[in-house]
Amino acid sequence: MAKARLIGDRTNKMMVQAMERRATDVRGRVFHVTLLVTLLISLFILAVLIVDVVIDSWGFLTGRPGGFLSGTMRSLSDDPKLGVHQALVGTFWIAVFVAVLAFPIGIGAAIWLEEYALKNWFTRFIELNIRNLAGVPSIVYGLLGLFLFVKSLEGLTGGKSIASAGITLAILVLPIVIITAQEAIRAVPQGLKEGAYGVGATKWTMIRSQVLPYAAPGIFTGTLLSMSRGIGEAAPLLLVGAVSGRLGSDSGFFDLSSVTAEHFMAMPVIIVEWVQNSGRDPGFAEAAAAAIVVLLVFVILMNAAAIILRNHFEKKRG
Amino acid sequence: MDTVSESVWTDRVEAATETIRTGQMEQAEPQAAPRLGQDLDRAVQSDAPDATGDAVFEVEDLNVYYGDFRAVQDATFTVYKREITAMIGPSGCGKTSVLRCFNRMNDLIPTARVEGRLDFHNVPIYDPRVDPVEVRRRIGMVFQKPNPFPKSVYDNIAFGPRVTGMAKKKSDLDDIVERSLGRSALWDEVKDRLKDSALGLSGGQQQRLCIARAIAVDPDVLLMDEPCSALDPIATTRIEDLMQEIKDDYTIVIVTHNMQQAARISNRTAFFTAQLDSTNDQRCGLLVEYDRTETIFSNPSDERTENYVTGRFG
Repeated sequence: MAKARLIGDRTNKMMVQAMERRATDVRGRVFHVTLLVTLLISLFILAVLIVDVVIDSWGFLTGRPGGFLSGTMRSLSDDPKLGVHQALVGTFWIAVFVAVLAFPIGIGAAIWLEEYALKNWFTRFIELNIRNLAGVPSIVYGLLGLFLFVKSLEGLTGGKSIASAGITLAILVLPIVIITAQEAIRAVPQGLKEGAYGVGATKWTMIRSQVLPYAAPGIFTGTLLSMSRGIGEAAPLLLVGAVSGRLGSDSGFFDLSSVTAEHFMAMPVIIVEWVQNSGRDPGFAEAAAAAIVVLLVFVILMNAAAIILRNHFEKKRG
Repeated sequence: MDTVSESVWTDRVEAATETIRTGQMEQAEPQAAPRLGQDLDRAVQSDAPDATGDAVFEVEDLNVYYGDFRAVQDATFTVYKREITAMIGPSGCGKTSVLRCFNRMNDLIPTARVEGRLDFHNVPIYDPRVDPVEVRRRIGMVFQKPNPFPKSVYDNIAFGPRVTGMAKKKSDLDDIVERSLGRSALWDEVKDRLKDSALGLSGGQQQRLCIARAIAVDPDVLLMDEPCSALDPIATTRIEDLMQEIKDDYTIVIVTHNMQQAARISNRTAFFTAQLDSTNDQRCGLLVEYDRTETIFSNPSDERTENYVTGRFG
């Protein structure tokens, strides 16, 4: 019966009719609109947050933009020398620690897992644990930092110092660096590897000349994004000793002695601190908003660097 | 091998490995091919005097496994110098697996395992003392899908000579690049765009670039894994012409799905088929027949070969 109708359908007229009947795909439309709404919701929330922070901080930032960056911690919000300089220095050095420690170790581990490790239960177990570590709450890393770097290795790190905080955050982002680098390395086409092996390249030459250049854009994007996440963390820093009081003299950006000096400040912590202070001194709410804007700009600059690096390596990739 | 005592064998491995390393394969002691004792081989040699003693690869009872799965079962044949040897057969018959044994490319697959004898100029290339990197330098490979590196045309060709330390000076490299591109009939088309990305070339040009890249390290053998399957007929013809031109200098082993191609270009043809193993219900590659190409296509001795080459099967 169905067959008979099919044959009947094959007259020119009926085919034309069938093709001209443009039924509206209701379910497809609904799906399309739903996707758009989800995107708009997330963009809307983000926009509200940013606008709110910028409005709150407007007076502070326009009042004395340079002074806020070079000023230091003060006990009153209307102190003309109030500013985020110590926190910026702390966050800058923490970022340096993350870059110097987490990137080479993480990328190295990723190369080993993808190119050298045998695919057996042991490496699967390791990979599973790396994925789990990426989901461990940051406060747990703070505890690790407190016991290991602040207490046990005090001689090396100087106790509650930027060094302790930097190493702690490096370990915090390490699993994410490994996972993103692994994904970038896995995306290298097998044909490139075989092509390199085919003309007599050793494994090391193959990795250096094919895998790393091809995976570089992905590796850089992933690692720098994970660093932006890391430097926004406040919880672990509170545990490893970021404090508002008893800060040493305000050091310059490139004063290496500040790295192991007792006590330090970082951008996320200064925000927490000032929000807490806003109870007794409402002016600190504005100061906190201004500090958030500074941290946002810091992170945006780093992401911009990630994009520039990625484009550079993609162009080299050809 | 059974007739040779262990110590004599060891000496031979050492000598032969040394031969490979120093690149003096021409002086390798003449190989006694008839010791394979295969009727097929004797038949081949009787009407092919040009090939006597010029075995490049001797394969005996070669088995290839991927994990528990046996992909190739007991293949035995000999590849001769300065000839084009074609491997044909339906999909899943193991011809590519055999090809990838020749330059130890199967090493890259973690579960792959190779058993049996596979001698290259008298050297058992799966001996633990043989360096697979050196094997791959001597035995170049061209892949099914053109796989130029995402670098310039020049750097693609220069890659092999650079990593193997063949050429350090710029002028030597320039020489090699020009010569290799010339041999692969690509020089005139790309000489003005050596610095451009190789990814901008057409598919056929990319495949000839890959051939040029393979011969830039001056290999002894070229393995080609369906090199024309991604190309149009014109590009295919160019590659086939190219193979005819370079076969005076290289031994070529080609896997092809295209029987006409095998008939057109090869001196010898190996016909593989996939045979169902009734014990475990798996299909396993089997070498059915190996002979001069004319014989395989005009007067095959196995019915399965005849069915395949006449198009009644596969």
